[in-house]
Amino acid sequence: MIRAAMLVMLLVAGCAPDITDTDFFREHPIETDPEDTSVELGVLEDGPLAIRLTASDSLRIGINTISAEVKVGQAPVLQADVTLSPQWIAAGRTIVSPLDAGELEITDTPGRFVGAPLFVQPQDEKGVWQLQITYAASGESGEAVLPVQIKPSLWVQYTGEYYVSWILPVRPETGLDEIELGLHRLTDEGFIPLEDATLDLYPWMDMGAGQGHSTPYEAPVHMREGRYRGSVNFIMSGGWDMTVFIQRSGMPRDTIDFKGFVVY
Amino acid sequence: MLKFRNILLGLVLPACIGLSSIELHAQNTVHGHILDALTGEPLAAASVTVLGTDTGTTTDNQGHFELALPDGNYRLRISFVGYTSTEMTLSLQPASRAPLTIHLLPAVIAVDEVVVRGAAPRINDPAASSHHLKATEDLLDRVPGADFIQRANFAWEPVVRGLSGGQVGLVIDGIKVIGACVDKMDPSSSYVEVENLEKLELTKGGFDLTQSSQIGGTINLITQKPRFDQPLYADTELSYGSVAALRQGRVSDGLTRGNTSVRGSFSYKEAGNFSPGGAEPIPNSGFKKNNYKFDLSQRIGSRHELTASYLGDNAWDVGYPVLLMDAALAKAKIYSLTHTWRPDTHFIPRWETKVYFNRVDHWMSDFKRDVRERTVMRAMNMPMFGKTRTTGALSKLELEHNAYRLELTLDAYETKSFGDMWMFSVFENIPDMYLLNLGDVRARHGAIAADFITPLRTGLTARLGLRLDHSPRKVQRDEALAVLQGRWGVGDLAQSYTLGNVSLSLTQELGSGGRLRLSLANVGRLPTHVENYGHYVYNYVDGYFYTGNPNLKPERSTQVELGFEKWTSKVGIRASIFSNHVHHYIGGRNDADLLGNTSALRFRTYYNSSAAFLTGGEASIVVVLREWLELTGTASYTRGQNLELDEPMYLIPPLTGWTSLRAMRNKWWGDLEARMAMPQNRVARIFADEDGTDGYFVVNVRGGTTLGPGIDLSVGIDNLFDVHYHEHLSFGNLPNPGRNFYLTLSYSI
Repeated sequence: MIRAAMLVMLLVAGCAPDITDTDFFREHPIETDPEDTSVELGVLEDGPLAIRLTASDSLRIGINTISAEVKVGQAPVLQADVTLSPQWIAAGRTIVSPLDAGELEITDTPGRFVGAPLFVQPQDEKGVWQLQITYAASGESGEAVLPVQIKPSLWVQYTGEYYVSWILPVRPETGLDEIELGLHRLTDEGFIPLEDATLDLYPWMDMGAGQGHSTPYEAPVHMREGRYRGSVNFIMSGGWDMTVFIQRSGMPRDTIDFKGFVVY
Repeated sequence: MLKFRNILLGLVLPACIGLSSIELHAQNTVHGHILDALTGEPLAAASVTVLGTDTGTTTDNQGHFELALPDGNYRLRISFVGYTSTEMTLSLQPASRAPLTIHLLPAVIAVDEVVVRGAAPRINDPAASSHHLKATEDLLDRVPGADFIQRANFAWEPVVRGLSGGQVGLVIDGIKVIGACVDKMDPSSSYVEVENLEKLELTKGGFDLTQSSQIGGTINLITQKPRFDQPLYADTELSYGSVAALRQGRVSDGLTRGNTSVRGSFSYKEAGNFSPGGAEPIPNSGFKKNNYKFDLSQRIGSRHELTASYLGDNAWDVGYPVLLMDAALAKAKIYSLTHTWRPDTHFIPRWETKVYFNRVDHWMSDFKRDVRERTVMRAMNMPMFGKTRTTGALSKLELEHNAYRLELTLDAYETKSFGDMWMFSVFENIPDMYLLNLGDVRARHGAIAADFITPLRTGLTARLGLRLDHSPRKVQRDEALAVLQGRWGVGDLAQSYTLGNVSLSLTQELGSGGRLRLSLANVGRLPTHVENYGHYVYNYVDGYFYTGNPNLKPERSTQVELGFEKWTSKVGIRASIFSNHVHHYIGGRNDADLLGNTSALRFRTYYNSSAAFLTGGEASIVVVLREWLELTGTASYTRGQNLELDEPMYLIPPLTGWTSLRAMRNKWWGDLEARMAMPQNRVARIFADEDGTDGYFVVNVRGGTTLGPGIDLSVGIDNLFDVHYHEHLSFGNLPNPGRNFYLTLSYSI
């Protein structure tokens, strides 16, 4: 009798609707490993040396993470100098994108180097992109040019006077993010870094229906060569806007928006 | 389909189990004498209850009682207000009719002990059961000084002397069950249904340190266990309540064979939308719930007993009409294994040790709401999920020597908590948003407590309580840590608290059943894991989104209570006044770094404000007018002041009380009750923009009869005059139910 009573109780106990399989109660998605979605840009071969360039996604205006796998035969090369320089070719002139020459850095994976060149496209110009590659490894060295397709994006904004480039973070995430912006003007000599500006920010999440909120931040200050660094504490993931205010002595205040980027 | 099966089960299961013969026994008259263990004075009007039956009695003026019982084994509970109740096994055979002498130890501190089953203690318990309980809340609601925060017609959150949440220690058989809902919609009191509740112990103030570190009070819900004195028993009950079309069925059964005893229970209830007084039903205010419990006890020899227990509770489609969301599903599973050792020595009467694990999951959603119409978080759906997992161990060792008594407690547990929320805008151009409210917070807790009772001189008894708590805690999920680091600075934001507590009570016997009590305490309570590490948790009290603060200090409280009670065979009075000065009172401070563009998007962080001060008192009286008729009444008042803001504290109940005329004669009983509250205009306007509340006066009438052996019928009308009112502690001024006619049919074997 005891066993029968226990059995009945256990059969009936716990009956309740199961709603845990609905999509609405999924946990926050885990960050995808960039390795899984990499896009091959091209392979440079120089004798036994092979450099395979990949990006974590299709290349876009702004910062892109690019990896180089350097091998001799099947053996990874542990020491190599690989530099990437984005170049805009238009009307017979070549404009090198701002920031330092993109020298790739060694990673924990033998033969794998990574860097983040910035692609800034002059406003209203027609032209094409190419990636100039300078390499030296295993006794081989040289230069090569790789034509690339660059998709438009929100990560570089033009005020009519300045180019404001979002350098960091490459992938905004909830929590305290360091924000690095590049500020340049385009002249006949190319992109000129501006070091005398005062920047301010206003991050904003538009929640629809006229609602939204800001989040704590620190205005960027100039570090070097037109690069300004501050921080933003993105309190939640979703779509965000970032307004950047640029003030230079004797110049009117400029404003641009990085509008609708996703914080993960 | 589920509900029909459940109701059917309630009818069929006890009937099946009950197909055994009922033996008739000769009646015996048991004589007993109940005395104060310290003074040897007889205790008049003490209660003697035969557990599992409706049989019971009270002692006369000389402390004597008589009980007529058939041969067999029984479990007696002897209780008296102000004393520690005790239980004993009684084996009745024709040859054993020696009188019993029972000594009760003074409880020293005031414990409101409300027993659910058996003959209702009468003269000594003004808060005694009114014979009909719909939920555990009904029982607690009768104790002066206890109130509820009401968020819906479901799962009310207990408030003791104006304090709640982490300020009150709420446990089930001493087990910590931490809620999974960051909005506190799942108080653990809702997991113990009436059929599983043996008794409820409530200590007001921070004077009982045996259960937890707290500053408001402790509530211990003691559940029913297998009864070795009962070879077979079963109880079934079906109820209906008109105001919300409440349908409810319960069954509990128990069997004993030799050294093995088992008990199981199951209940199901379903309520539709309820109607406030004189108004149409409130949409989206119903719920569905089932509850089940299973216990297996095994005696090992004559001194050891092992009990495995499992308590489960599911609630779904729970409507919260004044909140942003409803509870789509709330699940709790509580497992425990208890070893009890009763050495054959007077020095160690009992040593109980248990290990436990519980898991609570809570899903909320607003997919059934028109989200375009609301002002807060407009035009978006916000499903929320929360879960906690708590593992712990609890050991209580009782030591006695002459009139000295020492109870040592070791209490350790670990809780892991997670909570998150999605936000899906109805507008396609707004990306999905995600908020991590609690990112795998791990809180460990270890405590040692000592509770020592000693006579100081004739009539004067002291109780000294000591407790030391240690609790390290941290956030484990990097994503959550990163967000909090953005607010509070880099580092692991781990926190470790060590907390000492002390309480002292002195009780002076005044003779003729009178007693004067002075209690002092310097105690603390730790911040909750949400107060430490919560992230944008919406607080319905003030309408702000709160960020946790890892740097919070524990709230510290200095308390004084003066109590008086006098109990005779005709009149019982209990009264107490208290003051409670809370230092480092945890409140909310506007987060200036975070701005919303509407008044509905406001942000605060938890912080330690300077202090708060509470004072008040409670009084109870019971007068026996006739042998079959008694008048009872209680009143309580709390006044709370936020000393930093120099305004009243929020959610402080007004002067409330009830009075009841109870009659019980032969097979009939009746109860005419009036409940009332004065207006509350002392409100927290600065902190919470709290509004005042009108007073109310509500009349309830109840009655019942025994239709046959084991068959009882109860009927009643709550809110007889269909008054439209709401409690001050009701969120969003959610009104209380209007006139409710109910009927309950129960059958016991």
